[in-house]
Amino acid sequence: MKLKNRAKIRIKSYNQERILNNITKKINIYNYIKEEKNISSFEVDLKNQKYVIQNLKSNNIEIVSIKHEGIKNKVLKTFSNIGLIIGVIISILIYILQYQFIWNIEILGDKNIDDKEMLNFINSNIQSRFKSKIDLDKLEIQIKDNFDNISSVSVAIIGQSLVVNLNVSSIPNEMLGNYPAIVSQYDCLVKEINLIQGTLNVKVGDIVKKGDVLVYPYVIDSQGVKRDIEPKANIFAEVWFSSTIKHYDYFIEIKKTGKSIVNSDIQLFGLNIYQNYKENSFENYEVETKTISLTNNLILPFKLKKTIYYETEVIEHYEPFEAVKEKIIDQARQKTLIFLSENEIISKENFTIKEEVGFYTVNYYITTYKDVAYI
Amino acid sequence: MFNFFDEIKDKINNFDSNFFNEFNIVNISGKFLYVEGHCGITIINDNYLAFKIKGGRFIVEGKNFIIKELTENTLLLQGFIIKMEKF
Repeated sequence: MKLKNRAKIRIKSYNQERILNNITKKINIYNYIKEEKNISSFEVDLKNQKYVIQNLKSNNIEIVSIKHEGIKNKVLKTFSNIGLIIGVIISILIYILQYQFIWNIEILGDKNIDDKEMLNFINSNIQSRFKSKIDLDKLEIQIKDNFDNISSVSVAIIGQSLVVNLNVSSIPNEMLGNYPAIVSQYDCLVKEINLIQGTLNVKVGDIVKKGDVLVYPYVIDSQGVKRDIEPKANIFAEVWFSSTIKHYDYFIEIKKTGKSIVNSDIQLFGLNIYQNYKENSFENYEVETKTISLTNNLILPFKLKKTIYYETEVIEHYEPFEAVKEKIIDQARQKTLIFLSENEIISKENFTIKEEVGFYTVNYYITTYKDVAYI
Repeated sequence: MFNFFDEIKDKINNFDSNFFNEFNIVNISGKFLYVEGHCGITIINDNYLAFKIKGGRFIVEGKNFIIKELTENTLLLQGFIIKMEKF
């Protein structure tokens, strides 16, 4: 598209050169083309069009056509198109008209509410889709009245959407009345009880096993009625943890030296069709066998069977318990400490050594003092 | 239209400036012809252009001629320029 605003004039005449010379005395001519012997076209600035036409007419030159080019001409042409103007006006009117209606209902907030149920309720309670006919305050009240679990609601019209923002009320646990009992997480000896609420199932001096109920989630009131309540208590108890380590004075260890021999067989339907064997020169060894399928089809199921001989050596260990006693006890202690929580207070530690046939058993005990009702 | 001959006049101080006042022609790669100082077109068609200059005539032969711009004493010709002659 040409941007310059020009008029393209086609003329029919002989001796056009004289006309050109005459016109160019006052104005400029652009893109002169001689199309035929007596027909040519040229462009002039749109503002000079009138002068050129007058000049051509006064010289009895036949004007074949005048065509306008340039952005200004395009704009004028576009805005002079009645069909287009009518289309634009109709579009604007349709837009203004449809903007007065609600086309969409959006529900925001807590998704515990059934959206479909809420949408049906809103659709049945708005009188019209026409924006001005919708009473937002009334709709808010209706929603609150009909949905018990909604604590607050706001309804607004944004663009062409009716936006409903919901907040669901949260019911405190006390109102639900469904509490678990306090259960011991450890084997322990109860030393001190401070009951806040609930019904105790243990007393001072009781030995409690892991999983036993410490406090039930109810109370019996003065009328003898059982009432649910969240159990709360501080129950301090001695909790003990233990670990065991066995020590053998003498034992034999069989260890791989790292040397190995691999023998291979290629088999088809269980028959060896190729073998690659090396002589096993190991005095002590372990044998491992692996079979790998070489093909994925069932027609010729070639298989590779590998037999690996690992050389081993026998190492005898002799370590009297008395020589490593302290080390073993410390290992047992470290093994026990793993069960303790961080920053737990140790009240007592002890261990037992039991001599059995060929080995010793060290049991290490750590006793702590802690609140076993703390969840 | 631009006039780069003024630039040349500025650069050639001792040159007789009257030469410039007659006519000036620049052939640009045989595709464009810039003429300054013509005294009117005498013949123009698809492959021939003739114009008057001070003290003579000038003809240009070629193909597909279009006069891109024409003023009272300058012109810019576009086309395949083969030959130029002064009489």
